[in-house]
Amino acid sequence: MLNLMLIFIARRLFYTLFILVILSLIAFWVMQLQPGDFITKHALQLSQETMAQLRQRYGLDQSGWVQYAKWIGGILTRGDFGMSFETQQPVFDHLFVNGNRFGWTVLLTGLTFLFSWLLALPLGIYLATSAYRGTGRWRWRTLIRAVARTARRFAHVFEQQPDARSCRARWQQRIQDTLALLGQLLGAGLRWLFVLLVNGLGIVGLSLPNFLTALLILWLLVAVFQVGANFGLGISGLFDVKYRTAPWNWDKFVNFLWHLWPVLLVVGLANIAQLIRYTRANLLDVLGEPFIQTARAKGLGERVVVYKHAVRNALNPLISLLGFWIPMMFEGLLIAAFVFQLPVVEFAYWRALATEDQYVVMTGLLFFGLVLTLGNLLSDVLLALANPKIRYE
Amino acid sequence: MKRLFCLSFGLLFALALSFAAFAQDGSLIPNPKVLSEDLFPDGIGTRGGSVVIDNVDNPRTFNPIIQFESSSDAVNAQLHAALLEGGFGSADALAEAFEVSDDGLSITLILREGLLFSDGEPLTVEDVLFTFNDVVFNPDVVSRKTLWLINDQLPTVSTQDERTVVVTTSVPAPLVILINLTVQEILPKHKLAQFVHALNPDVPAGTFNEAWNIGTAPEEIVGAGPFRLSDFVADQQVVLARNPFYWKIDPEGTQLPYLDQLILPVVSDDNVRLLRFINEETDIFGPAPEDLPVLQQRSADGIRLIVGTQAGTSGDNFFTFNQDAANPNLRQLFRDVRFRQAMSRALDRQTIIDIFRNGLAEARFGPGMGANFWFGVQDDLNFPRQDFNLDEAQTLLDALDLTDSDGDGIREFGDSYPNPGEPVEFELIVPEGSRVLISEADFWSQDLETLGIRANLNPTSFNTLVGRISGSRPAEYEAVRISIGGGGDPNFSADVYASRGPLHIYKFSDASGEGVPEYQQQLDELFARQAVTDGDERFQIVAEIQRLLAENVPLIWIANGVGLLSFREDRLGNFAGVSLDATVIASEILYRRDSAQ
Repeated sequence: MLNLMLIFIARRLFYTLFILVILSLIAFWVMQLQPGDFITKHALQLSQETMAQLRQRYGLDQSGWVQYAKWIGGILTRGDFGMSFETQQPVFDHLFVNGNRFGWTVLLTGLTFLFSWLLALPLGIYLATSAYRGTGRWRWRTLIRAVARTARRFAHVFEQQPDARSCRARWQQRIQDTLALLGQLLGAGLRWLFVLLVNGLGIVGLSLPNFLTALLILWLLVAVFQVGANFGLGISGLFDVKYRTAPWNWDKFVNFLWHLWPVLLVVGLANIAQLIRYTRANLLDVLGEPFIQTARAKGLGERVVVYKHAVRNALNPLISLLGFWIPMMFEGLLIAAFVFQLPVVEFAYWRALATEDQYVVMTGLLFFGLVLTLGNLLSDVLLALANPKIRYE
Repeated sequence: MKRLFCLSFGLLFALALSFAAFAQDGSLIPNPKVLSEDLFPDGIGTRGGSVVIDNVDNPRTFNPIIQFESSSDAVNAQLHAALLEGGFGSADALAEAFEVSDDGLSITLILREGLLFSDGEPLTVEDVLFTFNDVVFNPDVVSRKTLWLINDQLPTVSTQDERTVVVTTSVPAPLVILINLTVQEILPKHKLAQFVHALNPDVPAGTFNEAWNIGTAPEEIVGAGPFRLSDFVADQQVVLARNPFYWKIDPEGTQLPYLDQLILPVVSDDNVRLLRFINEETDIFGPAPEDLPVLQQRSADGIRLIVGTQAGTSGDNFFTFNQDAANPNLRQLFRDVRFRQAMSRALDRQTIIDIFRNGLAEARFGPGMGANFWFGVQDDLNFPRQDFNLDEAQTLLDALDLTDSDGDGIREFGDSYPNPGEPVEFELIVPEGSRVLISEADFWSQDLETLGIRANLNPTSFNTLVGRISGSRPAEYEAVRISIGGGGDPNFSADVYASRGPLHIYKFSDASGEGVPEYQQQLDELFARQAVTDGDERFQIVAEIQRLLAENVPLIWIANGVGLLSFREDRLGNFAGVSLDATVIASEILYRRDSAQ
C-alpha cells in the first residue's frame, strides 16, 4: 500500500506543476486586461519621458508574451521570480523573506487552524450527542419527568406510616431528592446556556464580516477596557512597539500571546462556526446508521460507540474538506492582517494587486495555488490513512 | 631638540587620535547652525525619549531620489539634509552661506566646515558634485530632473575650492534653483558611488535605481539629517535613532535633535490609527474631520487638537473638463469659457463643505490656498469669483445654444454644434476609493441635472483614472474630479497651468502651439517670467496669473481642507506639525516633556 501511496503522491505533484503553469497563464492575461500598468499611477508625478524610461527598465514596453516567457523562463532556469517594481527587490525576498513574512504566515495559519479544529470538533461532537441535540431548546419533557419523579417520591414518602427512625430517613431522602433535582435543573440550565452561547457565537461568526469583528474587538479593548491607560497594553501588530525589535524573552512571549488571541478569534470564528455545524450534522447522520444500533445492541458502552465508531466515520467528510480549509485559512488571514497589521504574505500580495506589481502578484498566485493543491493532496492522503477502504490507484 | 620634536609630534598625534575617537562617538562640527529661539514655541527642550507616530504603509525604498510615495518620504525626510532650507531657499543649512550673482546666472554656496554624515564620514563638495552630476542629472537614474530644467537645460554644478559649490544656469532663474536646493538631499558618495555605472563600470547602467532598497542593512543608509535608520521590520515599524553628528544646536548649545528615537509603526487602517492614538500608543495623529468629535471628548486626557484657521497646502481639488474630448459637441462646449463659468456657478461649495467636510474647509475659486503666501493673495484682491448662483448659471447656459427641445429636462445641442440634437451629457470619472469625492460629485451632478445638464458619475479605480487623464495624448476622459498636490510655490503649478506642463490635463493639445486660446498664451508667458523674477514684480505676475485663471476657469476649484492635527500635549514640546503622510516637521526641536536629560 505504501508503494501505491507514493506513486499516487508523485503523480499528483507532477499534475500540480501543470496546474500551476496554467494558473499563471490565466492570471497573467487577466492582469494584462487591466488598463494601465504599474507606472500609470505615477503619471501625475512623473514626466512622460521618465515614465517611458521606467517602462523600458521594467520591461513593460514589451509584449505580454515576451514578458511572460522571460518570467517563467527565469523561474525554471534560475529560480528567479522576477523583480518587485515597488521595492526593487527580488520578488521572493519581497514576498517571503522581508519581515519573515513566510514564517509568520505559516505560524499564524497553523495556530488558527489548530485553534479552530481543536475547539470546533469537541463542540460539534458535544452538540450532536448532548440530550438537547444541539438545538439549544430546552427539552421540556425531560425536565417535567424529573420534577414528576421527585414529586412522586415525596408523595410516596408521605403515604407511609411514620416512626422516628424512618422519619429521619425519609427527610434525608427528600433532601437528597431535592438536591438531585436542583442539580439536574442547574446542569440543564448550564447546558442550555452553553449551547446557546455556542450557537450564538456560530451565528455571529458566520454573519459578521471578519473586518467588522476585528474592529469591534479593538474598540472594546480601547474604549471599554482601556487597555492602554489601565494596563499599558497595545493593540495591532504582533507586539507592542517596545518589543518589536527586542530579543525574545518571557515578557515578549507574553506580549505576543496578548496580540495573538484577537487574531485567532477573528480568523477562527467563522471557521469554528462552520466546522461545528459540519461535525454535528455528520455525526448525527452517522449516529442514525444501523451499524451504530448494532454496536449498542452488542452491549458496547456509549463512549466506545460514539468515539470509536461514530466519530471516526463522521470525520471522513471533514478530512476531505481539509483541502479547501487550508487555503481558506490563508484567505481569512488577509482581513485580519489589514486590521491588525500582520506581517504576512497575504498582505504583501494584496498590496501588490493594488499597485499592479505584476511579478509579485504572479508569484503570490503560484504560492496560493500550490497551497491549495498541496492541501487537497494532504486531505486525500489523510483520508486514505483514516479509512482503510479507500485505495488510490 | 630631537627629543622635543618627538614629544611634540607624539602630543599632536595623541590629540588627533582623541579627536577622531571623540568624533566617532558623535560630536559637534566646528561651525554648527544655531537655531533661533523664535523657532522653539515651548522653549528649550531636554534630550531623551522617543516619539511614536503611525505611518500609513511600509517605506518602499530608502533611496530619496527614486521615492514616489508618501510612506517613504515620512522616513527619508528625517535621514537627509539639503544645502538650503526654509521658504524660497532663504535659510542656510548644509551650506552656511550662499550668494546669487548679479546677472542671476549662478549661485555660489559655501559648505559648512567639518560636516559629517551619520556614519562619521566627512560630507564634502565631492558629495555635492556626486549628488547632482552623477545621480540627479544622470540620464540612467529615474530622478525628477525635469524640476531642474531651465530653458530646457540642466544647470551646471561645479566646485571652486574644497568648500565652494557653484550652480550655473543658461538663463537667470535663481528662485527656481534656490527652491530646488531646499529639497535636494545631499547623498554620500562613499556609499552610493558603487551603484553608478560611470563610476563603477562593473555594474550595469541604471543600477542606482535599485540602491538602498528596503532590504539594505540600516548601517548602509547614511545621511546628514537629524536621524539615522536604526531598524526596519517590514509591516511592523521603522526605528530612527538620533544622528550623533548632526550639525544643528539650540540657542544654549545643546546638539540637536532632542529625541533619542523616532518610531514609525506601520498601520494601514485609518480606524486603527485613531484607536491606537486614543489607547495612548502613539503621540501624534493626523485626524480626518469625522474623527474630531471623538478627539474633542478626550481633550482632558492630554490630547490637544489643532484645527487650522486657514486651508493648508493640500493641493488643488477640482473638477475639470477635457477640452480635447473625443466627442466634437463636448469638445466645442468645454472650450467655451461661458460653459465653464456656468459649471462653477452650479457648484454649491459651502454646502459641500458643511455636509461632507464638517465645515472644516475653505471654498476655492482659483489655485490658492489661504495659508500660502503667493496664492493667498486672491483673498485680498478683487478677483472674479464664479460663486454659486443657479440663476446665473442658467443664463450662461441659455446663451450657449443649449435648449431642452423635447421636454425631458435635459438640454440638447443646438444647430451651432457639429451634431445637433444630442443630449448634453458627459461622463464624470471619480476615484472609486473615496467616499467624500464620490459624494461631492454626486451632489454637484444633482444641481447640474436641474440646469438640464446630465453628468454620468463613474467611480473608477485610481490607476485607471490616472491613465485616462494623463496616460495618453489626447487624454481619454470627458470630465474628472481629482486632486493634485502642490508645493505651494507658483513655479510648481506651471506643471498644470502652462501649455507644456505634464499635468496640463484640461487641454494637452496646447503643447502643439496650435489653437491656443489667448488667455493660455498669456499664462505661458507669465509663468515663464515669474520663474526668473523676485519680490514685488513676481507678486504682480502671480496676481495676474490668478486673475486670468479665475476669469477663464479651466478648472472648477472646490475647497481646500484646513489643517487638522492632534498630539499629546502633556508629552510633547515644540511640536511644529506633521504632514499628511506622517512626516514630522521640525523633528529636531521636538522633545518629550517627561524625558530625563
